[in-house]
Amino acid sequence: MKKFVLKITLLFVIIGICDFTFGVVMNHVVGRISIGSQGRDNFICNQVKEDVLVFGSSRAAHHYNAQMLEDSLGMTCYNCGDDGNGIILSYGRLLMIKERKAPKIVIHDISAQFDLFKNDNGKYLGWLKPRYEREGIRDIFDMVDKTEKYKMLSQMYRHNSKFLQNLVVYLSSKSSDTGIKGYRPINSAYDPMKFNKNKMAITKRKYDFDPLKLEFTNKFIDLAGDAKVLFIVSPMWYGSDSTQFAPIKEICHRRGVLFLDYSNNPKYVHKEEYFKDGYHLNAKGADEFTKDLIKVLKSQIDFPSQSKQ
Amino acid sequence: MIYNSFNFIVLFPLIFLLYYAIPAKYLKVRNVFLLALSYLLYLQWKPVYALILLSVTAITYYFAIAIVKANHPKRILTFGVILSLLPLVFFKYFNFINETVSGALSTIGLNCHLSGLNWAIPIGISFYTFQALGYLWDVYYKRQEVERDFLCYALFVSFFPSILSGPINKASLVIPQLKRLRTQFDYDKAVEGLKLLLWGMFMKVVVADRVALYVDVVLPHYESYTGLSCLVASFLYTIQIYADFAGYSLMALGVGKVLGFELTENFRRPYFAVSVTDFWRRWHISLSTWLKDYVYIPLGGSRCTKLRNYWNIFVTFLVSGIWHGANWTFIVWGCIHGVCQIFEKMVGQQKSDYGWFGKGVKITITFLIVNFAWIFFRMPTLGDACGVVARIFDPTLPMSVYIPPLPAPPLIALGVFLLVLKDVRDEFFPDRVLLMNNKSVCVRWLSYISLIVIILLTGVFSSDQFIYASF
Repeated sequence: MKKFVLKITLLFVIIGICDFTFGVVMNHVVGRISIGSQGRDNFICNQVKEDVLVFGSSRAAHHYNAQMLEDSLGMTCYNCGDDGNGIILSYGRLLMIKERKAPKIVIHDISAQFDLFKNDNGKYLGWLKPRYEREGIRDIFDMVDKTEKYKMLSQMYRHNSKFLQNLVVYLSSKSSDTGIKGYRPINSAYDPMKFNKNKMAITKRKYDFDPLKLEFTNKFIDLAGDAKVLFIVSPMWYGSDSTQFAPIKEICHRRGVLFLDYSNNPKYVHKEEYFKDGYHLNAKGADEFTKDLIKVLKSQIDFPSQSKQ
Repeated sequence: MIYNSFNFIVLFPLIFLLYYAIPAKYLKVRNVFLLALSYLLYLQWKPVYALILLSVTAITYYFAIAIVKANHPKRILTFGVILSLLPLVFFKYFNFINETVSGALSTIGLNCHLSGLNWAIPIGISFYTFQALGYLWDVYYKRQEVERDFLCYALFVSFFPSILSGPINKASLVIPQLKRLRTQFDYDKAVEGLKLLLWGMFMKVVVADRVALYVDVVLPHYESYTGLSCLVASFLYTIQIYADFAGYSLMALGVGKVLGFELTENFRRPYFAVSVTDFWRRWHISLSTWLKDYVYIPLGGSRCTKLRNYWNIFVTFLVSGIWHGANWTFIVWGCIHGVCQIFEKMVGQQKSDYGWFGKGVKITITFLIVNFAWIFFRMPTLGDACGVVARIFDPTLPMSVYIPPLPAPPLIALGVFLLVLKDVRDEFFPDRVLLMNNKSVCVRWLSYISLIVIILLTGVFSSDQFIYASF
């Protein structure tokens, strides 16, 4: 028994040393990447100082033309949206950006799946893992899962899954798309396979809302401080059952925050020319939607470009 | 207990230390500790359902005693079996029976629909019910002595390493181990157990859960993907379900071994089977043994006319399908396996031998049949399953494959490659390229460390439930 316990302890010590060494190497590697998804994340967390910030999922990243917003509003703009993510990552990123500068306008694109419904919130912590030591990030992990603080003791866990990609990018320094001010236009053609005709009829159902995500929504509004906050549901080819957005509407109403729902806007619903698939606008659709949004923003907010006129 | 959860990693060393802190001579105290622990872990999930576990235990325990004493044991057995099956039928099949019956009645104009149950199925109910029923039958057939120590019997039914998803242990294997004075600590067995635990963890978090990220994108939305993507997803699901269930079984075996117990081996590289019949000698061995002993043989087995034998095979696999779930998809899956085995028996497939090439062809054909049947197992409805099959064979669709974004493809490839490599070695070269069992300490330790590093770096740590836990 003694031999067994000693050997197990020795094994853990060796693993601990490997883990520490790996952490030192990977922290160095990750910190120096300036291209690809990791480069974009580094830029958002360490350098973004823009006035207008867009957050949300892939729908945010592909739907909001940051350059267009910048040119029209006379304010600098950056799109911080990321695939498969929602309010939890948005809150973390805004927290890190605010260490440097408070934005003037904060837009969060709502995806019910990532911002409202109950699912595994652990998956939204992926991009925040290498930032665990930054101020306030630890609390996000604690809110999502109390056991995360123990898991984060492992450096390998922090860099889990992404290490290979990061090493390849670091070593090859091959340039890859980081977007135009974070905006990632979809230039590929309409893909008929990606439209599920069975989903055309909007079905109402009972939704299981996640109180934690709603808590993060409130914290996000608090964190934005004096900035003008907007929650937006961008267009969907399918349209949507708007009752699924009821909790966010209620929060917006209570907190005096603007909520805009374009998901059933007849200009976009079932219009293939604007979409790549059922949930993502192509570049043409994104430009059209950004133009529509600029009109609303101009009517709602007093901008420096307008005051100059 | 979910073996890939953080709770397990924290709790298991504690369980290990507490268990071995009890001197081996206090056998009863050790058993009470294991029983209390098994129930405590079960209570964590949904406390009230522990009563069902207890009731199935009590029913089979008392009916077994009654069988021994009775003049008409068959009646007692029948009554005991029905009573033990009631919770399983009620929780697992009520909605299915209700919908099927009301559907059938509505076709003749009768509207008789009971409102469905919205309750979760008690975890592991199919496994512990079958394990307890096996004991009852063994006592009836006089293959097992009746157990009069309730504590010992209750531990056999609820033993925590195997309650969630098996293996379905035989009383003759486990009860003697519970009653026998165990050694204080068996070093070799514990090391063997940890190796199984480590490889099981690899199969679950590095292979099954990683592959699931592809399967769960494509198959639920198969209409939006090409036939080739659906085919790749179906192959990957075949790997996923193996890695998931065999991984769990290895971990259960490993936990058992660390605590000094031997449980039933559940998998033996099933995808190297040369026929569907052979597949069932390698896949979920504890269930196929159970079905053979308590369904196939009582029906007459193979000692009857050919036609009757075919019928027995069909019924056995129909039961297997029904056991897996209350859905027509599982029934069709069971029927496919049953029909294939009947066909193999009819043509004498297993007797033919064409050397290595023939074996390779047989393995490939068996794999494709099993893969085809898994589509029915995976999809929520028969319509969806047929939809996937139709898409795979639709020549009008583009010949492109969905490639998920980085880092998924290399990580999927790495996990699957290592799994296949290990299984090929175990199957065809069992004495070569030993890594975790190498004579050299350096090679052994390097293997352990590499495997742990791979798990930490490439595993999916979302503590996802095992697929078979829902059965």
